[in-house]
Parts: sequence; C-alpha cells; structure tokens
Amino acid sequence: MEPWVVSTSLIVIYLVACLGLGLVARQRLTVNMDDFMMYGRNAGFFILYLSVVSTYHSAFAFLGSGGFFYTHGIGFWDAGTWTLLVGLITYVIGTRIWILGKHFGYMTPADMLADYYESEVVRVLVAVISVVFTMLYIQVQSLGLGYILSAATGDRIPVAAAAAILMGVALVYIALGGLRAVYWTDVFQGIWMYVAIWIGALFLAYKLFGGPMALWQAVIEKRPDLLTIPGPQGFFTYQMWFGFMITLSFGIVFQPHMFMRFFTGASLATIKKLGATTPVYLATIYIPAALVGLGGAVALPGLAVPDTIFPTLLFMHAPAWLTGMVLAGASAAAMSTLNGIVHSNMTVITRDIYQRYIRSNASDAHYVWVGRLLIVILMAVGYALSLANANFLVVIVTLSGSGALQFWPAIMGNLFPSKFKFTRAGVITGMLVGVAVLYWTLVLTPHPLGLHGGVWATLANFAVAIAVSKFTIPPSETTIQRIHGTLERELYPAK
Amino acid sequence: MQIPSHYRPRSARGRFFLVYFVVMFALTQWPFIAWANRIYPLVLGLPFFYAYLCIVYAAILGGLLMLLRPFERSRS
Repeated sequence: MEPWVVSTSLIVIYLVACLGLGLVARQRLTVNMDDFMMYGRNAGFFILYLSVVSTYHSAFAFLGSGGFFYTHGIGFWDAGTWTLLVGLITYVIGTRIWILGKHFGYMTPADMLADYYESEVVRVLVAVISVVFTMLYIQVQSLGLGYILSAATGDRIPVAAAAAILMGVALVYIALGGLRAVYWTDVFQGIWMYVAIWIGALFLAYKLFGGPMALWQAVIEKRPDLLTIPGPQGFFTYQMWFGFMITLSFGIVFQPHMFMRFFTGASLATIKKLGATTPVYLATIYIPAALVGLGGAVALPGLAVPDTIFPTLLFMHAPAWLTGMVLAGASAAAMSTLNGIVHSNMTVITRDIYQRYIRSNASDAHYVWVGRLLIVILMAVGYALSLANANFLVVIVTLSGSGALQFWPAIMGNLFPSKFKFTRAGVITGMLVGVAVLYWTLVLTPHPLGLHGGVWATLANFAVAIAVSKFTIPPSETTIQRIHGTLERELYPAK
Repeated sequence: MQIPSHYRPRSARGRFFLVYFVVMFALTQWPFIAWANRIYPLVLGLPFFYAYLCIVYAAILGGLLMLLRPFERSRS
C-alpha cells in the first residue's frame, strides 16, 4: 500500500473517531446554555486536564516548535518557563475565577469583569477584544489543518479543500455536542498528539543518530551555535526570552477559550490540581520537539521551510503508519485549539452581545440554536480569512497573541482585594492605551529595545490604569463587598 | 468592612511559597541565565544551559506539586 494512502487513512480514522465522540456527546446533551456552553460546570479533573493542555497547544506547538528549535536553537526551551508559569497562574488566578463563576453564574471574561466594574462599556470592550484577537487564530489553525492533510495525501488534495474538510468535521461535532463534544474530543486529541510527538521524535532520534544522547552529542559537535542563546540569528535575546515568558503565559491564559475553562471545573480542588499538574504535559511536550528541531538541523540542514522539519524527516525515514499517526497528531493539535476558540467566541457573542442587547428573555433552547448558527458563521469567516491573502491579516495575527494580555489590570482589580482599587475608567483607558501601544510596539516599531511588544503594551496599560484609577470612582461598596467578600470567605474561611 | 489585601500571604506557608516561586522564576531569567548560557561542562551528556534549565524547571514543578500536599492531607 502506498505511504500516502496509509497516512491519509489514519487521519480519516482519527476524524471518524472525532465525529463519533460528537454524536455521543449530542445524545448526552441537555438543551440548556449551561450544558451547551459550560459543560454543566461539572468537568472533572481528567477531562479538564486534557482539554486545557490540548487547547493550549496548537499546530504551532506541534510543528512550529520543531521549526523554532531548528532555526533559533535552544532558546525555545524557554517554553518550560512559560508553561510552568501557566500552572502557577491557574493555581492562583484560575481558582478565583472558578469561585466567582460558581457564585455568580459567569460564562465569559466580559461577564465577570462587567459585573465587578459595573460597566457595559467594559463588557463590550472585553467581548470585542476577546473575539477579534482570537478570531485570527481560527484562520491560522485552518491553514495549518489544510497544510497537514494536503501533505499527508502527497498534495493530492489542495490546501483549501483539505482545510474545508477538517473544519467541516470540527463544525459538525461542536454544533452537535457543544462544549461536551469539545471536551471529549480534546481528551482524545490530547492523548493522541502527546503520544504521536514522543514516538515520532524518539523514532527519528534512534534511526538517525542511535538515540537521544547520541543526538545531543552530534548537535554539540556539529551545531554548537544552536545550544546557547541568542541563537544563530540573534533572535533569543534576554529581553525576548522574558517577553515570551509573559506573553505566552498570561497572554494565553487570559484568552477566552482558556479563561472560560476555569468556569467549567467541577470543584475548587479540580482547578488546584489542574494548576499543579498541567505543566507536566505542557512543558514535556517540548522535549521531543527539541530532539526533532535540533536533530533535524544536523541531519537535514538548509530546509527552506523549517516548520516542516518533522513531517519532512518522517516522510524520508519513518514507516507510513508512523508518519500518518504523527500527522493525525498534528491535526489533533490544530483541531483542539480551533474547536476551543470557535466555541468560546460563540459563547462570548451569544452571552455578551446577543442575550444582553438583542434578545434577553428567550428560552435556553433558543440561545443554543443561536450558538449553533454562530459556530457555522465563525467557521465560515475563519475559513474565508484563511483563503484571503491580505496584508492586514499579517498585522492582526502579529497582534493577536498579546491582545488578551490587556485584560490583566482589570482581572487583578476584580480578583485580588486590596486597598488600591482599579476603577472602570482606569481599566477602560488602560485597555485602549494597551491595544494602541501593542500596535505601535509590534507592528510600527517591533520590539523596542529588544523587549517584546506585548510587555511594553502591558506596562503602558498598567501605568495608565493605575494613574486613572487614582482619580476616578471605584466600583460601589456593595459590589466590592459582594465579590471580594465572596473571595475572602472562600479562600480564607473563618476558623 | 475593609477586606484584607489578597496580595500579601497570611501564613508562613504562603510566604514560603511566594519567596520560593519568585526565586525559582528569577533563576530562569537574566542575569542567572547569562551565567548558565554555555555548553560546557556537560551534565550527564547534556549541554550545560539545557541541563540547568531542566533542573530549575523540575524544582518549580516540585514546588507546584507541594502546593497540593495540605489539600490532599485534608481530603484523606
């Protein structure tokens, strides 16, 4: 049997399994908003764990990280720092988000922040930033999916058609089963991608070098420039290293598809355990990625598109079944992020815009159907954007990773009682200034003084939010007591 | 009623972990990584910089798992 038939068949098996899980999830669905959008707020540790880790890692982590190691060397092992920080953020901030979600029924970041700051402007601004800045991730994942399936079939299916097929499958299972289908497929995808990347990388290490330690030895002898920072092209400066840690930890956790997962946990213990243990998966997935990228730089130097190093080496050296399994794993990485973003953006638009401003007294079944329609629209827009080749898309993609970072001051004011109070005027002005500085420091003058633009924007945001808050009115005492009082009672119960 | 600040830990354990994680994450940043940024001496056959980071990451992970201990104890 030809290799492309084997690899394509494995991807088809994977897709059928996803659809099957979507159908089963549909049968278990209770038609209400909490079930369709929040998994009934009853996600246990195992399901939530694999959903968080597979959603966090996109096609970029699976394929792009190998390319990063290949091009810039060991600097990408900074990934360990930001993934560990994700665990700590989950433990400290995720638990507070869960407590407020349980007490006040929040579904989205905008829901939570608007309630504390008593502001519809905060609601709309947070909802718009949430959707606009993550919408482009849909486009990126769509393109990634297209390339993966197209490569698996030996270019027999064009990228555009391949992307349409994979997005179509994701659309069907999300629309059928809501967040339950997203979580169940995430579990399947999370296991598949982790196993695939480890087996693929170890296979290549043994096949090309005789084992991982021999691979390291070969890199030390032949490409020592890859083993220190800033790397051969001077990319990973100490400032950039710091910037990656901030933007890829706080910046991703605050994005709605990650943030909203905290609302869905079954208990406080679930979120605490999540914080303490997710870095095990998140960080260790970059160990095989380093083997692929660094080993690839020795075994196959001068590759025109470094991101393709993993599939290229597999096609050259691995049996077809393994190549197919790894490519299906790459599809799983892209789809698990895609479905999370589509579902969270649907929830944001349904909850924060449609239910709030367009039709507020409809039945739950009505909102579930509106959600399903929005899933179709969001997928169609993401797909259309992936086909477009406009320059403005490049600009927005550059901005997208750091957009949610601009919620940081508002979240701190909401979740951490203190003498100093952030005000609605403070956080609104801070967010607007932050987004403007983001445009300046990522697009107009990228990374001034070598420091990541996302960090500049966040610093400006905090400075403005604090300054304006000093001279403006904080939320009412009733609201502060209601929300901060809840956190106080839950986190520091009277003995 | 003024709610006490949630930025300041209220127990010795809380203060320990605050200092622990600040120190550990500081070890992953400049100037410490500038000191560790070299290939030799190899540590178990791995480049020094990679091994240094692996050790710090393991220490942070250990700290995160330690956070769960009193919780697990109270459950049992």
